[in-house]
Amino acid sequence: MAKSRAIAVRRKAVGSIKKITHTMQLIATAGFQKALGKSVGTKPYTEKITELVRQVSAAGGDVDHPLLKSNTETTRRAVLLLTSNRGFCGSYNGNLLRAAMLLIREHERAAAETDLYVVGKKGVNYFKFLGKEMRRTYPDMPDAPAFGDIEPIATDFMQQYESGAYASIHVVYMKFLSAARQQAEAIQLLPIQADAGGDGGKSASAGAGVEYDFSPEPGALLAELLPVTVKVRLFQCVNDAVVSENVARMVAMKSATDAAEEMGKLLGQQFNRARQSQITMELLDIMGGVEALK
Amino acid sequence: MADSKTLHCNLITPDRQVFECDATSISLPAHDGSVGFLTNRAPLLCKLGVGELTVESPGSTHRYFLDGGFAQMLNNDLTILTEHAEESAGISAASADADLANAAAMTASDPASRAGKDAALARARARKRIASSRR
Repeated sequence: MAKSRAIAVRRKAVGSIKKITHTMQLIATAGFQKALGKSVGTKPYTEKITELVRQVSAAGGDVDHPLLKSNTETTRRAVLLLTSNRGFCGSYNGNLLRAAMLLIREHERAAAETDLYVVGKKGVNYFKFLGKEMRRTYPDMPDAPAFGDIEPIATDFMQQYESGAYASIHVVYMKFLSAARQQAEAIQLLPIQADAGGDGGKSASAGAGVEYDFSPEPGALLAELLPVTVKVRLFQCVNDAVVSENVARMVAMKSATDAAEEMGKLLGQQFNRARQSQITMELLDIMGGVEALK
Repeated sequence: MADSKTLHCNLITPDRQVFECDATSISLPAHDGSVGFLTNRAPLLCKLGVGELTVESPGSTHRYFLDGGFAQMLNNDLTILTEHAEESAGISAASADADLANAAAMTASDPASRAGKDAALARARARKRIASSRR
């Protein structure tokens, strides 16, 4: 009968979807572990740079650096949004886009125009759909960017900031808190805020009181270090985003696999029931025929 | 921690920790010329230039090409932070020549591009020097 055959077809489809989502889950798990390893590998550099900045500024490296000053001539702001290239990662992109829109509206309320810089196809498509103009997109960004991929973006932002094009530059990305928790976060990349180091006074005592030879003198050294901190900060954001994307995909595919399994069971029951009632009806038909012949 | 005769050397790039060992002497390219390190050197924080890092450790010598960055010397612990580190042995004369030709062909019409070209030239020349000194 038609009904049981239709159920059988659906059951088969659900079975192959389950296989696919399960494979995608495994791929995302591998990607997550790789991205996490990479993210951990970047920690020593970041921590050391932060430490150096702290020590140099403690040594009286007080500078009037353009990256520290706020630009008052313009109200225009830049937002760099880090989304993924591919979907199938649950609410990952949705949350990011919501956070970005919140930031943009906040800027609008402050009567500031926002220039959008978007990484990732998902973000680009969203703003295209809204008809919102994007200042720049980065279609060639690899899935797991290296420092060399990020550095030109940071340098470009710093140049624009120094030329006075923007009052501030923000980054919206998915912060990786733990494997179970990621949060869309907006940070201010430029001008550099005093507590940009992040971990506050945790390691302040590490080299305190040491009399260093500075070469060049602290002010000049700090001026060299500041652009590096901006690059490192952006690189950290990107690394976090990659790790979070993989986690989000892993979780989304896990629940898709579970849902497919559930649905497969249900369809199995329905199929058996339909087949049984079909058999019963045929039997009744035959018995009816036999009775009629008597 | 290093013992009294050696100092600890740590080379780190943004992507990973490249190299770590105990060394007897280290020479690195500071922004204003080459600087040598032995044990118990006074604490130093300096900006790096373009050139070759040489780490002499008991039994072996490691050489890396560095392009900018920072070095911190503290308690016999030398940390080198650089955005670009490349093992000298991996630099072929042919690629160094090609780099130099590319750098020489860069246009330099305004101050920014001129600075870029100068940096590229310095980089290419340093790599070429390393490649040819090995032969």
